[in-house]
Amino acid sequence: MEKRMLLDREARRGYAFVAPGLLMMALLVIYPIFSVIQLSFSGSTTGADFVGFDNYLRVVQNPNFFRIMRNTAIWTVGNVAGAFMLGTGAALLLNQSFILAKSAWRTVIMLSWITPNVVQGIMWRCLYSSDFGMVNQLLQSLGLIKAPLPWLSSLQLTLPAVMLVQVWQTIPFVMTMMYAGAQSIPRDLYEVANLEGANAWARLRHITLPLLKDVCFICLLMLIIWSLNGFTLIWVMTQGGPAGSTEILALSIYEKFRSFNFNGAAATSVLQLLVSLLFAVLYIRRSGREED
Amino acid sequence: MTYNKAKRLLLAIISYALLVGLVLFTVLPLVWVVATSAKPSTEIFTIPPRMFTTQPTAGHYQHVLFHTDIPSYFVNSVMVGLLVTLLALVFGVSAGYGFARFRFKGNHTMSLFMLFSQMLPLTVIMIPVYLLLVRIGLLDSKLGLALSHLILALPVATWMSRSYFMSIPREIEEAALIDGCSYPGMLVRVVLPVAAPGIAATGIYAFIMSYNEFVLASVLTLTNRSRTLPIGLSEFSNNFYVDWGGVMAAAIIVSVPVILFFLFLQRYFVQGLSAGSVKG
Repeated sequence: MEKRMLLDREARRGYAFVAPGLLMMALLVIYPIFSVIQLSFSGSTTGADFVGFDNYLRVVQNPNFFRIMRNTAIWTVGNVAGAFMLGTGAALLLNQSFILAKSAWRTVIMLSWITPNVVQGIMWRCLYSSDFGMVNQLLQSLGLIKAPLPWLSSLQLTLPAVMLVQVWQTIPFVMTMMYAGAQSIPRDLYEVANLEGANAWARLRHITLPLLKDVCFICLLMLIIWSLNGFTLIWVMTQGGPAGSTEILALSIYEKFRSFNFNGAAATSVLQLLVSLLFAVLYIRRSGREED
Repeated sequence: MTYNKAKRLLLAIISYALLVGLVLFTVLPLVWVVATSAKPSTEIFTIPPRMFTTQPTAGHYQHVLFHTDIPSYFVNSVMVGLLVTLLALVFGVSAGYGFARFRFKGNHTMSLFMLFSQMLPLTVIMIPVYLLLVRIGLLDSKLGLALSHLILALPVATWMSRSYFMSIPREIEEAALIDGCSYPGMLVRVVLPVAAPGIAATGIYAFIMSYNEFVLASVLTLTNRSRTLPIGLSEFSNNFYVDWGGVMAAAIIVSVPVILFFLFLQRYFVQGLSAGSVKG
């Protein structure tokens, strides 16, 4: 009896501490989701008139829809692959025992991640300028290109150019996570491997990489979610242009919103929500397992 | 043996070269921003473009600070950020403590819900929040923006403080209670002081998330009453596109607080990363 009372008191206290924040969050998250779904099936901003799947049909049948989905896919896959490979490479380089001043390297590299998104966008827009930009200047002086390239006004070049900036800003995240993971691997494992005559490649292949599996998973999912949700960088640099060549799902919601097509924007939002949820659920399931 | 030594030396040289390359890639664009902000306007558009000037000027900074709206955006950003910090700390630290210390049904599920809610695309939340704020008359207000920024800041505050409380041994709480301290007294006199550095870092993290946020701020603010720096800077750069020096000076003014916070609190930033904090 005594013990039961104690448990109940513990639970009561727990709920009391958690409740305000949780209610706040529920209000901020569950209400918008519910509301956006309602709007997506409605013909007005009050969510009153039910129109079935009309808004969805209009979104999907729009001739631009395929291009937007393709851009979203290219943007996401390219960003994730680029940032993951370069970031992991950087972490493994930094993890080598002979590298001095490790935290200094890390701090300096982190600067590109820490700079506000808007600043990153504005800065790269100028760097990519075809006449006075440093990118063209650098490539020309290295002899890699003959004439200045129109980085942000070309149907082919602009998406990759913006992707490079997204990769540029997320490399430090991957590097930091992977480096922290690699540092937490016990040294003894490597010593044993050395005694057994394993070379550097074998140590990487059989110790470092397998033990970094969980961190890799987290990094990849975060990169995917960031890319899918990514907005600011593209908006500041190109506003989705030229001719929609950098328009991804998140930008098309914003465009519809700006032209007061709230219901179309809501239907597009639900599509984006479904895509993001898929990866968020994967992430949560993995985090949940780690916690247990 | 000498072969091995040579191989190792080569590996070291290649590794350092690659690291230097990466550092140049991350830092050169930022150096360019600083260099451009100090360049006289006449020098910015020369062909071929040059990185550094021989006659640095503070003129662009003066212009931004005294002849533009950037300072008033800065005030808005700081006020919104402080409000977000306050609310995120009150709600988040309490929730974090609850999740870390007490066993109760649903603890795990609810803490994961907090983590999950942070991964929702802001573009999805934007529409309902906009319509809601219009309805309750909080559109274009600092309070409305701050409340919506809690979507970002509250989960992070909860998770960061949760992991911080978990690292504080329970025994010190029990000792205080045994010594005759009341429960609220124990919280105020023992738990909060011990957790203070972690709470401070959490607060700063929340502040920076709000300070950097773009999507919500761009639709929920309309005028100088509530417009924050990211939106102001972006507009400034569109209107004064030809004035690169001014834009870069403004960009630096916006970035400096964030970078300073980062340098002082790097350890916590790395912790925040692994707590699953999603950058807007």
